[in-house]
Amino acid sequence: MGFELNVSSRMENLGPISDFITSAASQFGLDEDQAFAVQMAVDEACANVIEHAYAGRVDGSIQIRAELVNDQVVVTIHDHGQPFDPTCVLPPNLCAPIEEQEDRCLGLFLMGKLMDTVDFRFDAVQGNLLTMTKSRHSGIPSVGA
Amino acid sequence: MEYHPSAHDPSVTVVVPAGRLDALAAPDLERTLADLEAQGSMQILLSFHQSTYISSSSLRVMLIHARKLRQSGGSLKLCCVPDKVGKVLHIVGFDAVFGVFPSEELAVQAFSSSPTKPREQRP
Repeated sequence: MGFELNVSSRMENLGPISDFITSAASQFGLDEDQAFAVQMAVDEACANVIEHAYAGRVDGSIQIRAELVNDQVVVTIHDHGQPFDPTCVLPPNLCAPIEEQEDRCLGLFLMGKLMDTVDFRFDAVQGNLLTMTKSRHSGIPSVGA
Repeated sequence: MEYHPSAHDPSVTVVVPAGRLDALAAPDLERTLADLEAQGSMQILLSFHQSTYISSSSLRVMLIHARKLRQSGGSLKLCCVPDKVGKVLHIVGFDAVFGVFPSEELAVQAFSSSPTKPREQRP
């Protein structure tokens, strides 16, 4: 079972993307927490693509596929924007006071917390491909750090 | 973005974000908080009772403005957080970093118990 959505790189499309993922998650039989986790991870990923990969361009393409494979939800997000190196960003220090909190890495941090796996692939010809998976048996994290 | 003086204490400004606080909505939150700070608001309460979602873009805005307010002797607090917003705050640890209160009244009382201190003037 799989679903696909193609949208342009506009922030206005984050709402329709969220609706698409929520609907797919329902078709896959995810509970409310799991569906929320997948929706949020995809929202963060697509916001990153629009803001950083396409850097303000509104005519970039974003292809989102959601599939259920062996009890795992597999979401792929494909774009042709600028690549970025996810290893160059540090996770936020959740124990630090406000003055020392890192404010740049929250999206990637959330994606990693909400999904079981997050894998970035960059190819000059094929474009950027993000693959995220979540088992139908894994929930939403309950502890901050 | 809607905001108003609190009925419990008009020195506290209550900001009411509505709907999805995603990357599309974050600039509006940023403008609202920046405008209030420019007008001299030092005690700002974000009441999330009309919010359905929050993403990292708005979390980042909250963090930056909480930091600015604290540096100038003010404070940013949160109240009336729906379950989905609360889960996100918890995952990133913001429920421990920010004051989060179940009602506007309790949040306003917390402002009163830790009054705003004017920034120290350096010679």
